[in-house]
Amino acid sequence: MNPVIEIGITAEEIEKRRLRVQKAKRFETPDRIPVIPAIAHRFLVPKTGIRFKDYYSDPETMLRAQLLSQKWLMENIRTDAHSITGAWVGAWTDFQNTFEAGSLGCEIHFFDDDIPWVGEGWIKTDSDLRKLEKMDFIHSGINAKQLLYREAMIAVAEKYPVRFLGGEIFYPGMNPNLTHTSDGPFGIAGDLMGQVEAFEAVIERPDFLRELLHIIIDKMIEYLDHCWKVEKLPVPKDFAWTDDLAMSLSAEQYRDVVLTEELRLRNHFDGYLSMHMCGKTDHLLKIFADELRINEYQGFGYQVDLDLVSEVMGGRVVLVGNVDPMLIYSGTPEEIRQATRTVIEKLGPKRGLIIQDGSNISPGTPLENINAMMEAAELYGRYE
Amino acid sequence: MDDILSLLCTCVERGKVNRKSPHPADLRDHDGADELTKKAVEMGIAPQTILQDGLIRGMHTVGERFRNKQIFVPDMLMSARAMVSGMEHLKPFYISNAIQTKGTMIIGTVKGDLHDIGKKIVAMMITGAGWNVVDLGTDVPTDKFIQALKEHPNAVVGLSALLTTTMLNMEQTVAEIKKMSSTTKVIIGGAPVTKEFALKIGADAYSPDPQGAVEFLNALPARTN
Ligand code: B12
Repeated sequence: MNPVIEIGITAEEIEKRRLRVQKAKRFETPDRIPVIPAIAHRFLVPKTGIRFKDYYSDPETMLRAQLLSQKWLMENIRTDAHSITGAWVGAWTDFQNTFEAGSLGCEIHFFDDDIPWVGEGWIKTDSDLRKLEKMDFIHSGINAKQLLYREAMIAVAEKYPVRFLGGEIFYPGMNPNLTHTSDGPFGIAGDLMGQVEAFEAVIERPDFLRELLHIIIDKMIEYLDHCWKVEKLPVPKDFAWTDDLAMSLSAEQYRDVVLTEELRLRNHFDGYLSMHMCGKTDHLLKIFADELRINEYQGFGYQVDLDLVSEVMGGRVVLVGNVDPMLIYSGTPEEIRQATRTVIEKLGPKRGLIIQDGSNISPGTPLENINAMMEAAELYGRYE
Repeated sequence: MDDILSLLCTCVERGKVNRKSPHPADLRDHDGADELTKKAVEMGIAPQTILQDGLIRGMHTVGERFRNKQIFVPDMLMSARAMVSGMEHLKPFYISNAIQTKGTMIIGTVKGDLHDIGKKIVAMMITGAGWNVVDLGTDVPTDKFIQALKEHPNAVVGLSALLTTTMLNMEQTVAEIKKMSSTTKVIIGGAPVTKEFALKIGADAYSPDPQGAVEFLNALPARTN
């Protein structure tokens, strides 16, 4: 019998968090506004003492590091996170921002103590597009590795039983997620062409870019259907995606080249749709709400105007954000409480608010600063 | 003369590179910055005037519009391309000293950081403001900045970082630069960077956008390369 990874949070508390978040997502009134800091593996894995070199080279180490990371997170971070499994959380084949480009012909660079980097883009000409079209996105490059890692994690799943205090034992490795999306359609185009080249193509070669995006979306849809099958995911299909690089486009440019293709992706999913985009996206908010019809705007940038986002999305799109991660990194707990209070006061009244950073807590951020968001929710975010 | 320089300025503002380029649609089959600069030179207009009243003036408007979110990254990159295509025709005059650059700026994204786009835009804007720019690229270790500074001892240094983790590498780079030459001015930028951080690590300035960097440089006393 392998030792159980005991997570020092009661199962009862986990259930309370789940209900609180669920209510927020339905625009109902929870006891208080939930808080879920966005803490990714570049923060967490070093906390386990496991090096990135080992994390990436062995699926069992990856799984173990993820479970220990989630244990650390749950026991040290004040959060309403209530699941330690799923993509971008735990028990998943974690190749993050490299898997799309890394399965479509870009080289990926791995490091001993850093997360992997995507190498140079290669798509320049029409004949490159034809070559891309023929590529097997599901079974090559990093995606081939993802499938192998998934199998390997399943094979050792029983070695890693997990339990919340007073709860049932479960085995997160039994059905690990594949990475579904990371860089987003325009972001992938940026990886494949080079980001500057992709931006120039918006103006100089919009048809070329549209065609590239079309191929990318075809491949993404095919791949996602495959994920749904392999992981036996539920229908209606919930989906979360991001397209960070598109923040740097004007609304007209976004609509002109990106939107049509993103709508194909969007319409492929009939469940709850969560979208993430960093940075100042004020000029795109209406498109996201009215045309892409997103259900949730997750980790939106701290630069977004709170009055505007409340006006455009409040009460109909769940808002997950947007305390400044740089303030969380270097401010005082009181400054962070006050910044969180402002978000609560501006976005809380229409319901559907979850406090998060906007976006991505940096390694080295003091714990008391991260936890100040929860303190603010307790002080200023109670509905009754 | 004013006419051709105004046209040149418009080409830079609107990202019209050359006659062949299809963008912007309403300027199709018109001369771009490339042809117009060449013509201006052939007309005998002083190179310094072409630079100042055509290219620099155009880039100034572009910088302001970018700052005010009236234009976005793709437009900015096209304007920069137009500017560069014009600059090509002025190169000989830099060599013959008929045009004086305002100084040299060494710029790079610090070690561990691959983010290139913002830094590139800053570099282009500074070029378009009449400075000579030495772009060291991304993931640049301190040594490389120091080496470049040895080659251009009067240069101003610009550091970019987009990650909170790599932002910390700026501190060491600034310290090394100041140790080597305490009078060298260093300006830093990139999304996570703040004015307070710049102060804390001993940099001379911070700007959230390229236009601010240009304003900082233009306010410095005249210098040679
Ligand atoms: C494009 C991008 C990438 C591309 C970069 C490609 C390239 N060739 O540049 C790639 C895919 C490589 C990448 C990788 C990573 N990225 Co990245 N990336 C972005 C993204 C989407 C846009 C950045 C950008 O180009 N902005 C547009 C330009 C015009 O703006 P800018 O860079 O801010 O520059 C302006 C100003 O800051 C200023 N400025 C910039 N430099 C300077 C210098 C001086 C001297 C001055 C005066 C001014 C100045 O002027 C510029 C023009 O206005 C941002 C998110 C976002 N939407 O902002 C994330 C983001 C910066 N990335 C992030 C992260 C975490 C990463 C990764 C670690 C992986 C990951 N999980 O995403 C890796 C790190 C790789 C590495 N070691 O560097 C985080 C950073 C969080 C943090 N604060 O630490 C962000 C914010 C996204 C997020 N929330 O997760 N990324």
